[in-house]
Amino acid sequence: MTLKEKLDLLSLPEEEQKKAEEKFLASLEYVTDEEIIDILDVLAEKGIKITRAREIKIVTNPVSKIKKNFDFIEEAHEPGIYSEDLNRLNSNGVDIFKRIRYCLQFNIPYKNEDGTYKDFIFKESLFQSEINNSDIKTESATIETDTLDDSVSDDVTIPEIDMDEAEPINDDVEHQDIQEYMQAKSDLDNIEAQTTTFAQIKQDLEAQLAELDALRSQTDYDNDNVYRFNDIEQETYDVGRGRAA
Amino acid sequence: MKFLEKYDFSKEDIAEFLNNSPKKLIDGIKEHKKLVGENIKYLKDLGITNYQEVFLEYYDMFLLDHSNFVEIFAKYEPEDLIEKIKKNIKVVEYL
Repeated sequence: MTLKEKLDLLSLPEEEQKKAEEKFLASLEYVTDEEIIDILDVLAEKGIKITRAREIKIVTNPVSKIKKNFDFIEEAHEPGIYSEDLNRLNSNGVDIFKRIRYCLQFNIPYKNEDGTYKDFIFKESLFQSEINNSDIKTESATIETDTLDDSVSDDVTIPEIDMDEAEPINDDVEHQDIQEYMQAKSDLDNIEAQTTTFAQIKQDLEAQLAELDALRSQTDYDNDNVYRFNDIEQETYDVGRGRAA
Repeated sequence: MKFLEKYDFSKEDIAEFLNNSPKKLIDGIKEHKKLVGENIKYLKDLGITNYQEVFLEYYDMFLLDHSNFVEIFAKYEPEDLIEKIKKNIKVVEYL
């Protein structure tokens, strides 16, 4: 299939088709027509269509990456992220998700007044600048994971990368990251559920203790009465025996 | 992707680019780094101050054959072009 034929699969509006032919056709060299159709199908499931020439490169992503990105954004309840700019699908959705969670944790606004997303959500260097400009220190800038083990806590810093060794993150590593995150989230949900149960048990025990205390008080009163009755009995006995004063 | 450092891309920018771009296009850029470098150099020599930003946004464009790439920009007055792209890189897709 020629590049033009591959482009036709996208059914872009006429003006965008022209732009694509002039500037953005080269990326289609790296995908087959089947791969293009697979991506278009995934987008269609979400009611999304590529309508701009600059978005063509989305089809060069693996289907698994696009699906994972959608999963993360649904988890974050932020469906508008991709409808605003489809090219964000090229990004690592995990990182966007982490930055949003961080902003929620530290009350950093990540949307503009018109509801669109601020640029720093999508770029690590801008995100770091935003943190530095706010009063939050990077050392304390960890996503709240106090009840999880250390393997899933995150520091939001740019890692040192050896440029000679630098390779794009492969899908297996991304998949492992996502698996670990989902497991950690499940663990946290379980701990929270247990905490709720323990709180309820404690409440019940406290109620029982209060009842016991009440009963004890009642018993003491009765005990006092028993003692008093015994005293009277003794007096009576003593009187009877002539011992009363 | 070390060749980008020749064009003054920071390590952070390169890392960000690697982490947020389709692997197939990254491989394509590596494969054709001479062509991509030539296209980057063209913009830099033209005087476009934010040429790095243009690359990071429209990296797939830089895989175009050099003569086709030059043709996109050559039809405009350089000063006008430089100013417009400096103001808003999104104008590149409308050139």
